[in-house]
Amino acid sequence: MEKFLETILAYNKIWFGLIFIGSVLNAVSKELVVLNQVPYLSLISFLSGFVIGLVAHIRGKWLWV
Amino acid sequence: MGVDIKDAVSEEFSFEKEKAVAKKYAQRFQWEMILIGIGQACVWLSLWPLVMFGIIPLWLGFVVACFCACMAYLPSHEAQHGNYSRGDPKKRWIDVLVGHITLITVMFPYEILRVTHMKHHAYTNHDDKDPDFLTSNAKSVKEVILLSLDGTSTDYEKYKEIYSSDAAFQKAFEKGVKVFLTYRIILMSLVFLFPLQTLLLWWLPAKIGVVYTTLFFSYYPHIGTEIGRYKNTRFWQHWMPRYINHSMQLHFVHHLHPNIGHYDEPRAIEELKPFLIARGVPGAEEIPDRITYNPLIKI
Repeated sequence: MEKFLETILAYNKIWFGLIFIGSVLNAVSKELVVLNQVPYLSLISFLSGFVIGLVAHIRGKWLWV
Repeated sequence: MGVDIKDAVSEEFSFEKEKAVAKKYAQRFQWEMILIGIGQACVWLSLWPLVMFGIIPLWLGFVVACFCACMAYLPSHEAQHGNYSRGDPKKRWIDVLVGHITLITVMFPYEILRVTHMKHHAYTNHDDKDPDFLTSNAKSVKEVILLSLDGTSTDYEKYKEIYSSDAAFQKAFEKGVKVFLTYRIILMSLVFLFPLQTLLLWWLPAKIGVVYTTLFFSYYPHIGTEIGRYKNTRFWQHWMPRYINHSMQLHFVHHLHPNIGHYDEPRAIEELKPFLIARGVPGAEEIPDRITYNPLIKI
């Protein structure tokens, strides 16, 4: 169990990007009328969140501090 | 390291006399701080049903949540120092309860903050041992804001390693990690179900609260200070009235006598002023004779 948790936590930025940022982008994009006709909107939102998290994971931080 | 407490000043301003003065202000039960801690957490929790059922708009919920988040840390800070129980084991539960509940708004584990804060007091301004070193010695406000938003203002893993031989630190840290994981699981579940509400009622207000806290508790009081009991925190003033930054202009007295109740600090400083000047506390010469009801504005 501890090993499993450690593995998950090692990729915490990716999970945060995928779930948190992805969910927020998905909700915001659905509110924007201009994006109503865009196909696979949810997929694009969660993929964007995943990529943001992946970049943060590789860099080791979210912002340019 | 530090100042030789016994030899640095005359008998008139001895450490024993200073301590006796401070002790007078470290007795009172701080009911108002408990009210603020539990109160802001209850207000913050009530925002969820109020927003969900459309009783108040989300933007208003966001504004109130930001205010709650800015008020969240100080009651926990008093708990970290045991300033509710004041050494009475039967009242220790108040420290723990208030310490945990008030921090829900900013999603921080009480135990981790408690042990790292104790190390901050023990090793203030030591670059390798002070968990607040990055922010208290930052070069600018912008740097503090970016570090806080990034979540890298304190490298908790690093300090877990530095204090690896401190069993009490490790035990508290492990407890804190469990609370942190619980927060993460709740946050991720909530954002999946209520994304905008979670963003604007919890995550963003928590970030704003952490920036506010780091700026006023960690950065401003320690600018340009050194290592040593009477040198590591300063008296400062600027355009902002002290009532909107938790009176952190007076944070130096907290570093000298952490058991003085937060709202008793102005009166304590008025009486301790000659001691502070004699000891060379940074900025002590500029401390007004009257601090109670003084907003301490300097333009």
